[in-house]
Amino acid sequence: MNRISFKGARNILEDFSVRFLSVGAERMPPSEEIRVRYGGVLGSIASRRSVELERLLDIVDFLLANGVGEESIVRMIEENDGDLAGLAGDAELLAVCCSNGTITDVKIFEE
Amino acid sequence: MADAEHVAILSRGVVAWNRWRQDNPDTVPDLSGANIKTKKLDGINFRGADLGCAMLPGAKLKGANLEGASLVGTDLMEADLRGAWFSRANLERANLMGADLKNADLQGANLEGAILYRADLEGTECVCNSLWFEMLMGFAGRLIDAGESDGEYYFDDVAGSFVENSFVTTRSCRLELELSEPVSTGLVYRVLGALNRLYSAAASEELTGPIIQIGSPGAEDDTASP
Repeated sequence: MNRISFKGARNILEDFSVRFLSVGAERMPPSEEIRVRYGGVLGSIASRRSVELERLLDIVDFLLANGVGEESIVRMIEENDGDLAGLAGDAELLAVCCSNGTITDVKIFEE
Repeated sequence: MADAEHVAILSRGVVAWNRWRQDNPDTVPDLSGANIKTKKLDGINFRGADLGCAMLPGAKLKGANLEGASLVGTDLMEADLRGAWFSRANLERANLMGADLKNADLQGANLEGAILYRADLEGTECVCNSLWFEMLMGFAGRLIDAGESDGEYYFDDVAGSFVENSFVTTRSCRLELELSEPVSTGLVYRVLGALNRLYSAAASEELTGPIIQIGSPGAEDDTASP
C-alpha cells in the first residue's frame, strides 16, 4: 500500500479535501460571488500564466473561506500572481491524480 | 468622537476604505464611538485605528487587520473575527461575547476586562482545543474548560486578565491519502509539495508530521504519473 499523510488544522484540511481531493466525486465549484468579483482579473492571470481560470477561482475561494484576508488576496493578485498560478498548478496536479486513479482514497482522522 | 469624514469613507465599503488607507498612510482613522452600520468588513485594514467604544456587533471582520488598533470598550458581540489580526491591539473592556475568534492572532493584545463569555474559539467546523496554555500566561488561569469531550472553552470572567504572546490554533487532524501501486517516488513528492503549498497558503504554517509509506516494489517506475 502506498500512503502519505500529514497533520494539520482540521477545518482547513476538511475544506481542502472536499475542494482538491474529491476522489470519484464532482468537484466543488467556486462560489458565484468569487467568480463575479475576481473572474476578470483572474482571467487575465490565467491567460498570461497558462493556467485554468477555474483553478485560480478555486484557490481564491479556498483562501477566503479559510480566513485569508481580502487584502492579502488582492496583494497576491497584484504582486505575486506567479504564486497564485503555482497554487492553481498544484490544485490541477491533485485533480489529475484524483481522476486518473493515482490517488485512490482520502481519509481524515482525528488526532 | 469619530471623524465624520472617516465614517463616510467607511460607509463606501472595504475596497474604498483600504484604498484610502493606502493613500493616507499617516492618517490615524478615528472611528471612536461610531455606530458602524456597514457590517461586511472582511479583510478591512483597521491597523492602528481608534475604534474605542465603537459599535460593531455582528460585524463580519474575517481576516481584518486590527494590529495595534484601539478597541477599548468596543462592542464586537457575536462578530465574525476569524483569522483577524489583533497583534498588540488594545481590547480592554471590549465586548467579545459570542464572537468567533477562530484562528485570530492575539499576540500581545491587551484583553484586560474584556468580556469573552461564550466567545467561540471553535466555530462550527473548527475546534480550537490547543490554546497553548503555557503562552496564555495570566489569561490561562481564567479559562474554564467546559469539557475535553467537545473541545469547547468558555470564558466567564477575564477581568484583569492580560494576554501576552498568545495565539489560537485549531484542533489538528491527520489527512491520509492512499495512492495507486505502483507509483513513482517523484510523483509522491510532487503530490506532497502540492498539498503542503496549498495548505500553508491558507494556514500560514506547513503541514506537520508527514508519514510516507511506499509499499510497492515498483515504486521507482513512472507508470502512474499523470
